[in-house]
Formats: sequence, C-alpha cells, structure tokens
Amino acid sequence: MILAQVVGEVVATQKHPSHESRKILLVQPVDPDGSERSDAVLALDAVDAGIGDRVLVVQEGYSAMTAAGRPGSPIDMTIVGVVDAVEMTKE
Amino acid sequence: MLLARVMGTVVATRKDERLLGKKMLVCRPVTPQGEAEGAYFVAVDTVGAGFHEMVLVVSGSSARMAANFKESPVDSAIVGIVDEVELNAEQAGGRTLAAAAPAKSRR
Amino acid sequence: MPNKPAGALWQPQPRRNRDGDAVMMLAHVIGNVVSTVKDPGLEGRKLLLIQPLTRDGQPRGKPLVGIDSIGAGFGETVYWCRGKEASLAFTGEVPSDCSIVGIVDTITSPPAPAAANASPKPRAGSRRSK
Repeated sequence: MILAQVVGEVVATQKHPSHESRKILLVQPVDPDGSERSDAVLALDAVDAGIGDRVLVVQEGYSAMTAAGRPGSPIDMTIVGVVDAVEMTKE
Repeated sequence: MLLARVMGTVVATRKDERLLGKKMLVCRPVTPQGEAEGAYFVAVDTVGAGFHEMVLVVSGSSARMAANFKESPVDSAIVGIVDEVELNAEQAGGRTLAAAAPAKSRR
Repeated sequence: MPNKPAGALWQPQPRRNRDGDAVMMLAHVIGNVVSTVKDPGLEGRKLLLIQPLTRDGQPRGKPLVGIDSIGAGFGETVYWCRGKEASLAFTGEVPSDCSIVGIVDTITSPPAPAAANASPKPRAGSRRSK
C-alpha cells in the first residue's frame, strides 16, 4: 500500500458500470513527511474519504476489487483506510 | 521479494474491516548492504517486526497468500525478519553482512 | 486529414516494479538471505539474492530476493518468474512474488535481419545492436 493525500474528486457520468455509486478520488502519493512523489492518480473510495484526508491506497488488482466490493471490475487502486497518524523513527 | 527496513507505523481507525487488528508498518527498500534506497510504502506485518529491523516484503497478489490474508485487500506483506545477508565473493569479498541495525544507528 | 488509429497517443510501457525499474527475467545469483522468523510458507525454503540482468548480461535495476525452486547457487545465471504466478512454482501456500525457476546453460540470440549482409556472423550468445 502507499500513503496518499486526497486532492480532488472526479465526476464521470459515462464510465464502466462497476464504478457506479463509488466515489472516484484524485489522490497524490506522498512520503510519510507529506512531500509529493510521482503523479496524482485515481482511486476508488471504499472508506468515505474526503478532500484533504491522508489515506492508504492498495495498488493490486484483486485487492482493489475486493476492497471496493466489485469482483471482476477494472479497478487497480482503491482507498482502504483513512490515516489518523504516521509515527516514524529517525533514519 | 524486497529487502526493506521498518521505519514507522500507520494508525488508521477508519479502514476496510478486513484490515482490523492488522499492524501496518511504513517501510523503505534497502540495498543488500543495508542502505535505504527508494520510495516508502506501507506493508502489513505478519511476523512481529520492530522499528529498524530489516525485513522481507512480498508484493502484489502473492501478499494475500501470507498469513490468512486471502480475502484482505493487501498488496504488500512482511513475511520475514532478516538475520543476515550473505553476498558472494565477487560482490563483497565473501563477507557476511549483519542485517540488524544500520552502522550509524544511535539509541 | 490523416486517420489516427485508435490509441495512437498511448505507448505501451515496459512492466515496471514499485521503484520504476523495468523488470527482466534473467538474473545472477549474488547472495543469499537468512531469516529465522518468517511466514510458515517460507520454512525450509532457500532465499537467494538475485541481480536482474538485461539481455546482454548487464545488471539492470535493484537486487531482489527470490525463492529458489531449482537448486541454484552463488554466481549462477538463472531465470525467475514474478507476480502471483511465482507462487505456482511450489506446492502448498508459499507467498512468493519472485521465484527462481531455472538455471541458464546458454543464451543464443539469432542475428538481426539487417546484419545478415554485413560483416561477421554473431557468435552464439552475443547480440548485435540495431
């Protein structure tokens, strides 16, 4: 899984039927200190996250489908948790 | 699988119910010599790993084969704590390299 | 007006792992990993440190830890399987995303078609760049 910041919400009227009734959120992968890394990506929301939340995103196909409750769906990223805190040690 | 070091822990109360009770650790890939290299990721712990320990991480669909995660939405799982990494003679003069704490650690 | 084929703007990318390195299937065995505390599915399995290679035998990307299914040893050139299919190299529940499934004897590359009229025939195991 990766840490990411929810930075937006995507509205798409025409989409695969298995994506109906789930929010599609724009998430920015981040390091534990909050700095951005790589491009923003889309993820289906399974935990009712909102813009500004730091979230956990699973990137494997079957896990993403399972978390979103959509077996056999073309999903490869799903938000599986809202992060309360990240506790890091010194490197 | 990757070699990685445990650098932190994630607390998340609101999450998929199949992740309840599972420890999620922030890890960073390391070289065989133990230097951190690469992007942080979060992996589910199955072996009781602690901070700064070098661990083995399995990714992708195979992560769900670890410790009864079959129906859990995980894509990274810690499946072993590394005792040592042995490199062959051409790579490091045949030395065994300890995996425990990095050389510069301060406690 | 030229007719662009569907998907003209999308270029297929080589499969990449988490850190953006292209993943190849050949590797050198460069070491091994000892781990006492581990998933029960890994008990009794040899964990080898492998360095992925390009077709020309050059190191490419970061070393990985693979589970040996074939009796490979230090210094050997092997080939490995990634992903969920890697766990199929074993019976039982083995959580593997990188399994060593063969030891390479030789690699033979046929010459590229343009090189057929040019100078010497490539030796077995070598590859002409285009």
